[in-house]
Amino acid sequence: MNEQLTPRQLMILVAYFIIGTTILVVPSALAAEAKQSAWILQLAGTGSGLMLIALYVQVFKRNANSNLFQINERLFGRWIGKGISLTIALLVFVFCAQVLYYIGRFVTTQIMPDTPSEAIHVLFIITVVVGMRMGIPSIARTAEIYFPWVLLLFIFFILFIMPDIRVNQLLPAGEFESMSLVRGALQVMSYSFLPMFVTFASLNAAYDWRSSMAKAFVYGTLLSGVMLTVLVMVSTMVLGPDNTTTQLYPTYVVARKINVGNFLQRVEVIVAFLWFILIFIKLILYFDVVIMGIAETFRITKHAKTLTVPVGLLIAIFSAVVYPDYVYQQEWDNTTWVAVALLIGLAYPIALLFLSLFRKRKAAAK
Amino acid sequence: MSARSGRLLSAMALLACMIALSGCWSRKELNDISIAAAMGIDWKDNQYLLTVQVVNPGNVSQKQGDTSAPVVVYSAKGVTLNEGVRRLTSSISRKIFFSHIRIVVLSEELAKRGIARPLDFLMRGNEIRSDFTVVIAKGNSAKDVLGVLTPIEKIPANFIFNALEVANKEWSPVAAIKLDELSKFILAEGVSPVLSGIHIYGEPSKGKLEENVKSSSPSVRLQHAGIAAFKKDKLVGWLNEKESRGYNAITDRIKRTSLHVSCPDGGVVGINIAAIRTKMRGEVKEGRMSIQLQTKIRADISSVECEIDLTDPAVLQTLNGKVEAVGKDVMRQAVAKAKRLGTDIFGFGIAIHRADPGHWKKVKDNWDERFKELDIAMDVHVSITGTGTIGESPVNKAGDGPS
Amino acid sequence: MAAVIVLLLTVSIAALELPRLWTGGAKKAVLLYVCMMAAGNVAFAARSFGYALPNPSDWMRVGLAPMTEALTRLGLIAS
Repeated sequence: MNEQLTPRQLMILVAYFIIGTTILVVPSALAAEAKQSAWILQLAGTGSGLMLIALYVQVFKRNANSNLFQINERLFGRWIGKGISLTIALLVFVFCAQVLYYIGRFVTTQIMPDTPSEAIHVLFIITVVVGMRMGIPSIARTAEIYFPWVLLLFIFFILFIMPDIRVNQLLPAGEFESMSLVRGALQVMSYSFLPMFVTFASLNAAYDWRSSMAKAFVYGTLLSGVMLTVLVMVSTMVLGPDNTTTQLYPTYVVARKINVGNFLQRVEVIVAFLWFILIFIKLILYFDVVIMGIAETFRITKHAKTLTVPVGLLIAIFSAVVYPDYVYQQEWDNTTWVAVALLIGLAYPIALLFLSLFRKRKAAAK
Repeated sequence: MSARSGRLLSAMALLACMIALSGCWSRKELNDISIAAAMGIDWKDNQYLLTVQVVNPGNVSQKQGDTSAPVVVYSAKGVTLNEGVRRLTSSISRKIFFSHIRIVVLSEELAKRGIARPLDFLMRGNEIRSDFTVVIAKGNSAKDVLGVLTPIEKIPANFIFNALEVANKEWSPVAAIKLDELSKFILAEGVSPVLSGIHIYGEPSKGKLEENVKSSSPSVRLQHAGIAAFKKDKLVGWLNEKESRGYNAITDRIKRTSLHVSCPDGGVVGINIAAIRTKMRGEVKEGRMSIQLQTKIRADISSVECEIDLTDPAVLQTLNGKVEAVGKDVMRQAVAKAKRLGTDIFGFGIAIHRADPGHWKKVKDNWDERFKELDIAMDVHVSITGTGTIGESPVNKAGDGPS
Repeated sequence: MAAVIVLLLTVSIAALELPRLWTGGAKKAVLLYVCMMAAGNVAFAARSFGYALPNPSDWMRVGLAPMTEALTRLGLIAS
């Protein structure tokens, strides 16, 4: 698994990751905070995300050619480093279970209500396990192949929904308190950007920093930022701010309204398919963190692939445990999740940055 | 990873795909479901009475219809609507499939009690989409309305749906409101919903019989019955034809319509409105709220029934002025009715909100009262651009005044 | 019932994976594998017999409670 990722692949993976589960959960939350100005919150979130990316790239660059877990051992010492790596692996294990839960919930709410979500979980995890065994470069190539289709579907989605857009539903703009802006941006950051650090750090060995990897991060963020902002805007313009708050999955409901000349209608599952691709990439990237974390800690990186099946099994089982019900999910997502994300996405990279600088200075002083 | 375990894993994955792709789990075979074309909700004995109009595929699909009716109407009671659905399913042999309903009919009594509760069921269910029209049954029960067979259009639900769509575009005292618009009206602050009314002309029990559609002039017909005005989710009154047209004019819902104006020397001229657009803008000046309505009408002459010289520009100007007066009159009547009913159905509140969010915060809690003090300024601009395919009217030659 | 099926499945997958690993000298990997598979099967069996599994989200909620308190008081979280 030591092939290099091309900058283009990285950009695509970054974009997919950022949109990932955010698109299902966040528009409704942002609309609840700021009604018709939700898109401004999304924009603010993307802006803050860029600053976070700058921080992460600094940490990545100073520790080039080693992945997150090797960095941990190097900077924190062998045993504390292993401890931290394992903690991260366990945390991300829970994230995997949560992402599976989101997918299952989405499908059983909107598309197949009589199906038990466990069935969806099992199908998805099998795909993830098989994908993981093929290695990250294959995943990156898959993402690359899907990319033009993702863009195309997205553009068609926006195009076909244009007749239903009422721009005046965005007015009056700017009617929110400043705390709402901060909270909204924080929501966006905790879903899209803060988990990025551990995820893309564990792939750090695959980056060739001589080429324009940093730019790849930025472009990926910008692209996904544009897509997300447009989606939030469209959702507000088509459904209205109040409906966007009430609906669980506003973007899906918007897709339901597509009706081109009374001929092209009921195509919302294509949009669902789009979300599946994006969420799949997010899930498999998380999965990679778990597998590599365990493999590095126990020094079995050559045989990391064998861990995929047992970990996959455990994730599938825990996906039904991690959120016992919808109310728990809402509560947890609004409170504990933000704390966790800030820890691993802000405090942790800052700590790593200081330690990297400190070590460099020590090495230079010698 | 060895070739063998790799192959086994791939085989497993492919098998899983097969099971998923054929959609076996939640499958509903076509001959296990009944497709509902319309739903009706009444309030009876403190319970919901749910009615569904189910398509009879055998009759509808054949070129020569068989002797059974194109639709069948079933009813069942329930404390909640979902109970009603399940009870219904027990009286039919198939599960009811709601994704294709075209209209939902609510009874007037239910509307007076409040439509938010049945609406929650319609919004929450994932099978029920949001592209159907909601109407109120005036003077009849929803069950009876769904039972009337209609001529030309085999499935009465389609008839009602299309009739509303066409009337909304071409004649205008109706409002074809779909579910998502309705939920927007109810959820938003500063506007209350309206719904169109349907009324049975004739004896409802006779409307169910095939004989009704076999005659060239059916004795039982479905008719539009004005627009019902709501205060949030409770029905508070009805708009008559003039007021309905005024409502549609103010809220920019009309596309085309027709009216008549009187000639200076008696008689009428028929005017065909080809295009009409209204822009609503709110304004708050020193605490006084006002709404600026700007209407642009493009019309042409559809019939001349008096002696009048159409080549004289002054005459056209007069006609313009008369159309303007008619337009302002219906709009004024609509606003007056709304103020009397105490409900802002036009969305003036939203316009004020957009104009001055700060002021809106102060008045929004008492909006149903405060909106009565709104000044409505109407600026109607009419231009009659055509006179049809003939110029001077034969009426001029035919001599004596109007009959 | 379902637990038995899962057990059979995991054993068959293990039978394909493990022999090669064992003879290839990756004893640690085999150990980890067997441990996690066993844990998975036990967890699944426990669930199908109705025992509630411990919820890591709860641990996180409790563990980070002071931080969430602080964030709520700062207004960064709206509960």
